[in-house]
Amino acid sequence: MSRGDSALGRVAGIFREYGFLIILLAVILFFSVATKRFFSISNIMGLLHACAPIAIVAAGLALVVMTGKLDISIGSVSFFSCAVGAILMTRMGVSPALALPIVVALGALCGLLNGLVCVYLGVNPLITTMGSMFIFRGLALQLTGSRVISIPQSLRTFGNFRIGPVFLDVIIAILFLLVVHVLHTRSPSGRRVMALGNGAETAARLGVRVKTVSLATFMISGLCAGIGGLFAIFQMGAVTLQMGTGQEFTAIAAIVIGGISLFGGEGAIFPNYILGILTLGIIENGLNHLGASPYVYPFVRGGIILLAMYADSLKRSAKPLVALSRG
Amino acid sequence: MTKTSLKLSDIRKSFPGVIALNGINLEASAGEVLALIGANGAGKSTLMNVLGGIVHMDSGRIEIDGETVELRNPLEAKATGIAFVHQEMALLPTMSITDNMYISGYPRKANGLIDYKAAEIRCSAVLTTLGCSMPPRTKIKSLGAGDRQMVEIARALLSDPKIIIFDEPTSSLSSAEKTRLFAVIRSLRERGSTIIYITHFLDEIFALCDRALVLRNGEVAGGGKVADLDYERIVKLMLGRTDLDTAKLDRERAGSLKEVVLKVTDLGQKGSFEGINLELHSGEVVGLWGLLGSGRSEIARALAGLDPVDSGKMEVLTKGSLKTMRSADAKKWIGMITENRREDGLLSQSSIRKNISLASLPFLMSSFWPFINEKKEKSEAARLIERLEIKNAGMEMPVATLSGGNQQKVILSRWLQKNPPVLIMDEPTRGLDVGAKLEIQSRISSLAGDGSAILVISSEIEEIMGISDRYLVIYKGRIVAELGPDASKEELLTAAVGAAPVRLS
Repeated sequence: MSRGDSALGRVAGIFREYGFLIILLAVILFFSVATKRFFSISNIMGLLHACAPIAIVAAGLALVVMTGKLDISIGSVSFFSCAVGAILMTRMGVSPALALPIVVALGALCGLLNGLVCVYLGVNPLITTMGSMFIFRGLALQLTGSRVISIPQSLRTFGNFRIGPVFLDVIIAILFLLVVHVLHTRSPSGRRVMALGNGAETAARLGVRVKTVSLATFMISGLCAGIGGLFAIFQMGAVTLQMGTGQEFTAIAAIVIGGISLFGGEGAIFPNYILGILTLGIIENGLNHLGASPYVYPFVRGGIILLAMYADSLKRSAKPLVALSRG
Repeated sequence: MTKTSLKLSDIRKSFPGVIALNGINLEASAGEVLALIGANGAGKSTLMNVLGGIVHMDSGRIEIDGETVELRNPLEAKATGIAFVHQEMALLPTMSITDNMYISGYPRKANGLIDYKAAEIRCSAVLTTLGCSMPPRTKIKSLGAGDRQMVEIARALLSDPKIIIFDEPTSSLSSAEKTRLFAVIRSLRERGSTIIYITHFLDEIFALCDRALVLRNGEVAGGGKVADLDYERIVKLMLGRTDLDTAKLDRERAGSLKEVVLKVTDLGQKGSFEGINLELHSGEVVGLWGLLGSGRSEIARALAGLDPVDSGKMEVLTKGSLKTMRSADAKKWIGMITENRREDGLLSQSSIRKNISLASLPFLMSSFWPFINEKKEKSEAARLIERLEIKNAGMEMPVATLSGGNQQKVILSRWLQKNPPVLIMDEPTRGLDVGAKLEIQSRISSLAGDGSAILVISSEIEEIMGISDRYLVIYKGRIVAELGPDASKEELLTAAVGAAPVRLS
């Protein structure tokens, strides 16, 4: 069918391509005008600081989504691995130098388990990770005895350490995402993640070891959840019981808003994913400055997710991905 | 004279119940395009899969440049210098041309990352030899079908193969793209490659190939220099002389045509078909005959309202007169049955009864309660099971327990309840055994006898000849011939390859 040759179609085309950026700029403009403090260095730095942990947590999930799968256990994985780390450090006196790598390894192990169940037992990823989401959260609550566990003072200062106006964890997060981005776009394995997102069958015919790649993305997702969780507890100074609750949906929202298709095969860390994370951060921060009721947040976030999903499916229908028409 | 670069001797391969290759001998020289022709199931694909290392032969010998080689897997075939351009493209739409060409093995820099610079240079070089100018960073999804095919070929050429197999490469190409592809193949031939070209389209053989080899039932039926062959000779070789006569299934239907139930005027869909005019009469079975890629399935899907059309008019018989119908409403009037039973919504774990009643639940409602009247449902299911002779171990058994043929009958039964004026069947018997095929065919006949107009698509000429009252022959998206019931197999085949003098009956 003919598409996009009318003036309206052209506008729609431009909007599809850049619509998200236009909206983001409009939102920033709105908050800058409507509130006094939104557009200030200190607020922007604070905003980035708040985004840093989730940006790391969801980076691995972004890779999973690029293969066309999902991992909604990331919040629980980061809670569980950090809870173990906090217990090791405060109750058992293990030094951070040992405990922190254990947290990261534990995250990766959780991801590996998710991946094994999905890839080798063939269980639907959404169901698998929903199950493990409950399991890891349950385990963590059991271990902590449902109590808040604080972490050593030295780590707390690290969490809010600044270099000039910039928080150290923001710099680390940016470097981390840069590494993920380079591996994703410039390494053979990263490219095979994208190939898998284009369709497992096609990828397999091209010699991609589909199972291995898929397993690896789940493991990286868990690894990122562990690292990101650490950044979160450095900031908060403790492992709280709500840690990571609902994080999976914030993460998926950021990913979808950033234009990483849930159908797989589309998107990148720079700029898509980072813009997605920032958008959610900006809206939350802006609403905060507006003095909006906290009950408005979920409403707004939900609305944005629906819009982003709609845009995703629009894009999908505009450019059919499979062009093997025969017969 | 050119030397023989590829020699296959006495290749044999059987699958359970079928002898796919029964002692095939094939020779091809460097700098030659060899056409490999045969009807569906003649063994072309199996033979080429043996050469591509995908299928293992039971016995036989493959020699390349005089040396016997073993091809245990696709990688070995590739290493031996055999490249395969598959009919179904394996491309990653969201990724660049370079990625698509190198995904199974990138050149790397010292630090382990991909050396895109080297990859892109090589990629451009190969694309240039193919006469393509698109930058290697272009994403596949922004390429047309022709350029995609070129990428597929470029990937095959990356490893500098000696032997290149093309498996029906033109089925998704426009004629301009085809001309380009032919030029590429000719230049490959000039550079001394051995090319094996599989196709359904006979005109391509005369345009491109040097020699032809015709397979039939897993054996070499004949062949020779293309210059010494003609359409008729090739068609005869494809069919074999023995099975030219076919017996029509018995039908006790009135010979006179009844009223028109569907009239289609100038129907077109960009890139697929155009100018389609047809009339279907109540009580007739019309065979829509054409080769794979001729546009026959697209026409059927458009008629059934599954795909949008760009032009044309469809009129359907409603309350005694023909009324124009929007293509989106076609589903109400036109039933469609395809080869793909699962896609047709057969719930394989659900019971036969439920599967039968699924299409007409509103009619099975109790007159008082807003629930299904189970008694009505059961008696209706029983009636249909008997009518279609669905062999079953009880209507409460899951559909998955039925044989393929009987599953197809369950789908048929759904449409029977709705009783649409027009039924379209796209390969209704694919994947069924001979007995089940005959049964479905006789059901189709009896459905027509009850007054439906039926349009049948089949790749098997025997099948379409067995059930059709007349034929519409599709070639490259157009109806090129309309043949009556007395049309012979040769007429149908030659018309479908676009060669026949068009005879309108």
